[in-house]
Amino acid sequence: MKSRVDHKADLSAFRPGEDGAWDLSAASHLLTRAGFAPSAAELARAVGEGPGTTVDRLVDGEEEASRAAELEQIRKAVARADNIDLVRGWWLKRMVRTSRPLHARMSVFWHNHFATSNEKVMSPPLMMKQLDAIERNGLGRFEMLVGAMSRDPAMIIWLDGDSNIKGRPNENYARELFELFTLGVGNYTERDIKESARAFTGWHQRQGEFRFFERDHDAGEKTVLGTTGTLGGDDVIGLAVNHPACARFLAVKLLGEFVTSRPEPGLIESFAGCLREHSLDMGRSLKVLLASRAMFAPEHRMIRIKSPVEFVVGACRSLETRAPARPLIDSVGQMGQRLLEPPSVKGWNGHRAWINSSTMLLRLSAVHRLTEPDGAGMLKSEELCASHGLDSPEKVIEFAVNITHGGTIPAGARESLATLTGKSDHVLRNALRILMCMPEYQLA
Amino acid sequence: MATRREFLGSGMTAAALLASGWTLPGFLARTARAALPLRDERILVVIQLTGGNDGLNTVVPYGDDRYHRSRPTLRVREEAALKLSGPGGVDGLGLHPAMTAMKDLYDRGQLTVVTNVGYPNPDRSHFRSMDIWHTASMKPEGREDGWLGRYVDRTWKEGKAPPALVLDDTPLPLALKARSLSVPTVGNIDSFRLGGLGDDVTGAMRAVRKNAAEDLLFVQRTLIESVENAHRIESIAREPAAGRSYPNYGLAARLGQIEQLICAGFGARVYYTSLGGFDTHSKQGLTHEPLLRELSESMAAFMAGLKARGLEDRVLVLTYSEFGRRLKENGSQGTDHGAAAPMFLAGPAARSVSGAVGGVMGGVVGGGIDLGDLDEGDVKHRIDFRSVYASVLKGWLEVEPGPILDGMFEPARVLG
Amino acid sequence: MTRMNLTGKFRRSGLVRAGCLAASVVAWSAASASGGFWAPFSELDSLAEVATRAHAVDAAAWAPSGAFASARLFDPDQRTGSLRAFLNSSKFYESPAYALVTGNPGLMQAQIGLLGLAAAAGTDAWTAVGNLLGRDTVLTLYPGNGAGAQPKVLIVSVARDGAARAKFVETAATAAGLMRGGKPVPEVTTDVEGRSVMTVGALKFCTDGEAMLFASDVDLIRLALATKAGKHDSIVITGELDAAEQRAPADAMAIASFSTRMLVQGAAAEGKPTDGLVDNPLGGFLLGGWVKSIVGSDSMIGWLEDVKDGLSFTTLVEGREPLPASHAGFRALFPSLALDWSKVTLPEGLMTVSVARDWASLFGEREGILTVQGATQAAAFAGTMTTLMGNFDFLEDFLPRVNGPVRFFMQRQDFSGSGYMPTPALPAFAMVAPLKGASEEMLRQRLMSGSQMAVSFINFDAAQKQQPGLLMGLADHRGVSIFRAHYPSPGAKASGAGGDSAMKNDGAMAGMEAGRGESGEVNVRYNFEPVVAVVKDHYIVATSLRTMTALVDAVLDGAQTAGPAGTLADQVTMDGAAGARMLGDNREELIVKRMLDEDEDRATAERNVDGFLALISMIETMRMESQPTEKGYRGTIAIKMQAWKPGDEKALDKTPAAEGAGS
Repeated sequence: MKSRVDHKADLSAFRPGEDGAWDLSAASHLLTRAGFAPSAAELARAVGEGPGTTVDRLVDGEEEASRAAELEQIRKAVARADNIDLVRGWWLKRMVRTSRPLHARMSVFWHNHFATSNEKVMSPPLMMKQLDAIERNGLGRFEMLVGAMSRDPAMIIWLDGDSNIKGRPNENYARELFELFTLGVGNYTERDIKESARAFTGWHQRQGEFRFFERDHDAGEKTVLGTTGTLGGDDVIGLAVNHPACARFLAVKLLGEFVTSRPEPGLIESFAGCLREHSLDMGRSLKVLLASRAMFAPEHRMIRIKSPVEFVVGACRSLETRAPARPLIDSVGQMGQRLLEPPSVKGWNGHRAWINSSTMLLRLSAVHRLTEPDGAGMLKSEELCASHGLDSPEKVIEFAVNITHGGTIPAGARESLATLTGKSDHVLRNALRILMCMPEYQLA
Repeated sequence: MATRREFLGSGMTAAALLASGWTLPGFLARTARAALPLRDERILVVIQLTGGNDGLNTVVPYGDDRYHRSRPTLRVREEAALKLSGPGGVDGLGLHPAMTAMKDLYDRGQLTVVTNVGYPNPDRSHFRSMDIWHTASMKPEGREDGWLGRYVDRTWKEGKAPPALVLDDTPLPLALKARSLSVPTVGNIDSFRLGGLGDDVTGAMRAVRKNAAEDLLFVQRTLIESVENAHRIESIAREPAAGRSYPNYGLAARLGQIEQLICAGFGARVYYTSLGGFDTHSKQGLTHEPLLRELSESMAAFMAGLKARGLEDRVLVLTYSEFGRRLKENGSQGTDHGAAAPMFLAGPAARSVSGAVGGVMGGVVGGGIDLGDLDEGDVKHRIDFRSVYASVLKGWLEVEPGPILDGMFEPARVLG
Repeated sequence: MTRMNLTGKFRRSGLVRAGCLAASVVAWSAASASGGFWAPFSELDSLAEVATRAHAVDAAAWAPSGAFASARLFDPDQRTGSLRAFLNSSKFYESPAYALVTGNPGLMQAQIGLLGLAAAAGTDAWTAVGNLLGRDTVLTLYPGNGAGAQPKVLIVSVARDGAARAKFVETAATAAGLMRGGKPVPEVTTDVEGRSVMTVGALKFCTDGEAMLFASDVDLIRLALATKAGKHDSIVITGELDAAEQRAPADAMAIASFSTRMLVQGAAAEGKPTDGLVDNPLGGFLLGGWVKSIVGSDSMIGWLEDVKDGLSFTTLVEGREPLPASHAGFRALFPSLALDWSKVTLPEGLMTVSVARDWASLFGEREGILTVQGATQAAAFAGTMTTLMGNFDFLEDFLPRVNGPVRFFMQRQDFSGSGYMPTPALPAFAMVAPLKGASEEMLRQRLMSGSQMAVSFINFDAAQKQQPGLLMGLADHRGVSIFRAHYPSPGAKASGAGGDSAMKNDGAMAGMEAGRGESGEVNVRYNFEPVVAVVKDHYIVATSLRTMTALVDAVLDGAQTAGPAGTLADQVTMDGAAGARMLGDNREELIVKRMLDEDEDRATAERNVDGFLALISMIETMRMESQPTEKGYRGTIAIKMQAWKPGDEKALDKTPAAEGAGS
């Protein structure tokens, strides 16, 4: 019997059996949330290994050597080219190909958090550089990440760092640092912003490299968040990330990404505490969160609307397609997520804002294209049937339900699937079409 | 990258962006169908005249000698002007002779001409002035939403069709930038078709979910609604064309598609499109007249199309430009940037419609054009454009104008 | 009609047989002696062919009348010989282009399959292909059933050696599972008039004596058989290829005819009547004459010829009436004295285009050439140009001065001196317009200040978007003053709109390092710089100083020649090798694009890109010409191939020195 104990705010480790079943559904839930919808192999491996091992692997796992080489090859070439679609293409491609889906997922999370748009930066190589910086620090200590972002040339252009000079401070970066990156509204004053802006004077970029200009820097005394001294940029970053509000602010954002956008106050507090305990180290904190009872609480399942990137990349990964980059870029862009060009410094609103009648039809249409016979080389249904030994309609349907819905679908939908007959690849395409057009598929 | 490729092809880039941007179901509704559940909501269609329309050669003060003296080569002669005299009109004012179709609307009481519209301290830069019109703010710098965008923010409900839609080959105008959602912009509504949704697919989609969370139900509702809408429109699209045709103009084609969308019950209450090319610094005669003809005939065809569908009482058309042009013509048979200019409102005639606020007043609102009292050679504004906006918001779209406009404006008496 | 044409007519129509043997021999000998690229493999073959042809049947006898397009290939089987010879002699098999074949599983499979079948049929692959192609092939297209339906296609090929082909076909059909034990497999066969119709991919197939028929449906096969049996008119009876027969030279490889009348009628039936007016002003002024001719004609014909090391395709369209007076501007008559551009070659030139129009007349008659929107746009353009030139009237004062063909040039750019390679590395473009009185001070100043104003507008727009603006200045080349606008180099600070106009004699930019203000650094790498000059009554606009100086030299040093009298042809010339090198400059981006978009690994992407570039580099030249005739147009495309030269497809890091053409 299922435990009726309320786990919604409990960060202690989820124990398979006692706290609920560790089954396809639970494994699919974890992998989809902490990455993208899994392939059959990823799913089977997670079910076999259990939640703890799976989470450790998600956080600590290395890129498989062959994939790493392949991706690095493209990354190098793209970094040289001056074309934003190539950067987007490379990024999406990596999301589809990587053996470290959590890392890829975190890069999108941080891109949304430190939302920078190439529309102003106008330099694909610098956007690439920012992605690299996010990649290096995305699962490390938050203070390091903020430090890297504060020195990131694209960020400096985006928030007018070059015009922040002694005597004429530009507050753009200081304001967003507090409001959007670390504390949230209500935890700082206008005076904190003014003083902090002075601390970042002279933090410029030249020819795409960070440079600190002593002569432009205001070395005078400042008071920020209650601390007075000849504070520099790194001091302000330290004060911000160590402010009690920072852990709470990050907790809400991370919970929204991985658990629920409506967390119980108790969950926010305990996860904020967890973050502080780990010195805002993302990897270590996420290990706790992703393996927690709260993560697997029934109330927290199937309540998160997939972003366009999650929808499209997840579909490619679970169907094992080697999708060309162009349709990926176009699809997510049309669905409202033009990567590297977020609508504003606040990033995308997300969740229900992804869904309206137009984007809904676009999602259906993407499924249609994906499951068409010979559909642009996307879904290789015959190969998939062969490699997974799907030689009967029953096996095909079981496979399809597992990779798209973690094995669980409403009874009414089963009836539609039961009518499918014919060759395996035909059944597979049609089953996928039914399953991926279901409302559940839009959620994770 | 801002290479020449992008630089030369900025028009093309915009088109490409649109093609890859929002696409909508294949709303090819060609005929009205009684079965279609049309909503009673009233609809606003805005036509932006980009470049600064020469108001003085659109609504011509032919009765004033100063006009004729100031425009030796460009003037419209008294005998050619389509006179706006008579009840509700103003003696000495007339429409440009290319605007016979709009004059017919005027004669039927379906067109209100609002003269002398502008704002204090007129800005003569295209960009800034357009931003002022778009944001309805005298300080447009840094504003991220437009007046119609704020209307969208107030009325949009999650999961519902967007309350506004741009039908144009340009990027989203600032007027429609909203915070809650990105208003869709489409170049052509024929670009999307829904296919491959068999009964098995829709059956599984519709199957009842027991104990489902609200998010799931929300997605399911939106999904079903979108699909039903698309199917309905597709079935209309398969019917033969009505046989009524729009003239062969770009604006007419866009208005024709707007008519289809309205008829298909797309659900938007604001449609936005534009007509460019009004920046007539030289050889104005070559371009201004065809543009006015395009505007006039397209608008009339649109009104006729709406009437054929029985929708004429529900749609109001509004036109404006970022500014008018200087009274005195320049040395190259053109005119330079000016200030106040006329706006047009076309819709059902107020007297023919029952109800509190029925339609346009007809006639001329704003009086004659005083060429004796100019602001640096330009027509002075006597009606603030925001009071026209206020009237449209309050009287037609039925929202409080105060929070949408930057301050309180007494609604102009353009609707009745 | 010349003797050659008579010969051709007889040879093809199949109406005259043995009687013209001698004449045919003359014709074939002539063709072979000309050394044409695609000429029959050997003279011996030709003689043998002519001998068999005397008793042969034409493939056209199967083709029912009513085609909207038809084409006929002469001796396609023997043309393969020269292709084979070219591939052997041109280093094709050593070039990366061949890797396109070996790297493509489909093509490779086809090649292996063909080799296998050929071996099974006891012949070699080339002969097998020849057997398949036959000695006479006719391809016809018919309208589909109903509006919007796919057109229906019929291909009939008559074998030279019926027995050899029959054997090959049987081998192939057996391998494909269509035949078993010499008999068609009943499950995949339909019987039509006693012949077995099999399905090959999307096509239906059957044999009829020495002919092989492919059609898009069984009904069309049935109709073709009935046509051959005389129960239905064939295209020979209705003469659908006659016009092409008569106009094509005797040794054409193939002829074709396309019914423009059916096209126009079809469009009208679909509710899209066409009046020959064009929407796009540029397109209308370039091709409006062609469009009008096509709309007013019954058919468009064409033929394919072999030229030395290449192919030439000619098409002819003639209206029922001469073009209307509104289109007179398409037949520009210019003074016969003009600068001789035929000797001018820019180093690393990719393409030159020459367009002869009476622009003033075209603009004046715009409403007869363009649609309402197009005409409005053209008028708006004229208005803008008038504004830019300080109210020097574009229509009345400028266009009538254009007194010769306008030329466009494309030249590969050398970025080696700029410290970076922009992406994409675009070629430089240039336009040269001969302009009566351009050197007069007043006009010269208008032209120069107009250019300056245009750049100011660009800068204004850039400033609105907070992008860096162009710095303006003047350069000097051999006493010719060149207006130059230039983006700051990457790393320099943006200075917003405006610019310096300090003068320097060496062409270096004054104020290039200027960078005040706080708008941040320039992160944009541009790949063009507008330059304008007026020299000896020529107005030149270019996107690179190097191209400009080369063109200034050409005008200064060029000889005045007596140009051709009468109407001038439009010409386009392209250099494949230079084009391949220009694309080679962008090789890295092309490879990455393939890796991302085609999901290829680096090796595959490199192989495909290099193969493609090698293929292009083997095009020595491609020439297109459009010549007005009395009632329409004659267009020619000629491609000349060359042997592959190792390295041509690779980006050259060291480009040829960027000296001006005059040195």
